[in-house]
Amino acid sequence: MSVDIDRLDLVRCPKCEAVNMDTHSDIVCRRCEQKIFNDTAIAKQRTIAYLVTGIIFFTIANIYPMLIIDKFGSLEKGTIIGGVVELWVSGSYFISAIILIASIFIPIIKFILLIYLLSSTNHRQSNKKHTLFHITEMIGPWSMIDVFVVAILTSLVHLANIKIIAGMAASAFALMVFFTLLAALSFDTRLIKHSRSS
Amino acid sequence: MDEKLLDTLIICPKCQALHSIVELEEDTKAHCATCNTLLYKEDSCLVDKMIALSLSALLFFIISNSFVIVQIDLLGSEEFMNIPAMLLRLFDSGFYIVGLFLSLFLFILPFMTISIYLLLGVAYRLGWSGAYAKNLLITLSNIRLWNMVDIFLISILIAMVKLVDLFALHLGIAFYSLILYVLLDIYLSKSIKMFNLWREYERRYR
Repeated sequence: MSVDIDRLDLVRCPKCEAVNMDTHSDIVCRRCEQKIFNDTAIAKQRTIAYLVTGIIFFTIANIYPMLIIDKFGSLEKGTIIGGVVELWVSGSYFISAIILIASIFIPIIKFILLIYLLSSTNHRQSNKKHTLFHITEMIGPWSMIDVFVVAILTSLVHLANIKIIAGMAASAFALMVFFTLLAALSFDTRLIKHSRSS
Repeated sequence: MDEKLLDTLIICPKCQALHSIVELEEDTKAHCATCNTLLYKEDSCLVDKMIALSLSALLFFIISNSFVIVQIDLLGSEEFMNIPAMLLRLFDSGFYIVGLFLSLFLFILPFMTISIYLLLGVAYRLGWSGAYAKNLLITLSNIRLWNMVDIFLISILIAMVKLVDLFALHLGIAFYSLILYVLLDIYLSKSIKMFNLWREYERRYR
């Protein structure tokens, strides 16, 4: 038998999964004794700060080059979108689609979902919001694919006449993933609960 | 609500539905009634399974970091790649931020995760102190989401597709070892739930 916890003052510890009483302020888990929730207002501000930082780094990552090819001394710079288009034109449709999904769609979906979850805390919403938050947590790390590919190419293609060098966008993109993961981790699920019981 | 009553409850990590914990028979699983997510399972061989899987995963992790993953060849010039060489190349090129994140996501945290599973299994088996086991469990809870070796494996395949027309590619023993490590790591994290590890802790130390 399952019960909707939003009708009860109970929360799940994200670290040890123990069920705790919701005191509507700072909560220390009764089993692992870790601080699992701060005041919801502070948690919300922190998530917004991480999210805004992530969006800034995402913008930078899409402006500056991700990959620089040094071929006999001449430099070819490629952005994320440029790389996707180049792969598509060369016929690598599948790889192009993976990079497009991982580097563009997943971060944007994550931003939209977090903004939606943060902005809808004062409204009664459908009970699918916990599932949406779970999806946000799960898809986040997959954005790292493009950074990993650039790191692999940089490491491998380091020959006398041809070199691949990571661009500034690689650092910005890695920081974007890091901050959006922090935004998801710092999101207080009680915000969803409060919106549903309001 | 008192602690004993709270101990009989579990909340689904995906949809947050509340359930009562029921005692299961051996090798049976409890799923969420709302979204069908696996909540916990009954496995009397949990500790032995954890030691065996983590020891195997650790072995494959060491092999995949000690040998060549992929090598390229162009007119006699050769270059090879494995995770430590890739990280050193990033630091040498001045990409400290990417190098730092990749060191964490691909080397330090995966190594810590597997080592903690192994140490936890040994701690349960040999009856080491409860405080030690608890610290291991808390650390595991904090770091297990940051392991990205599975995503790195997909990235290797994408990089190979990008390079296959330009260079002769040779896969090394570390590539196959990395695949086995990733499969074991996924199996370990899917088959051994944090809920079960904490319940085992409570059975042994409370």
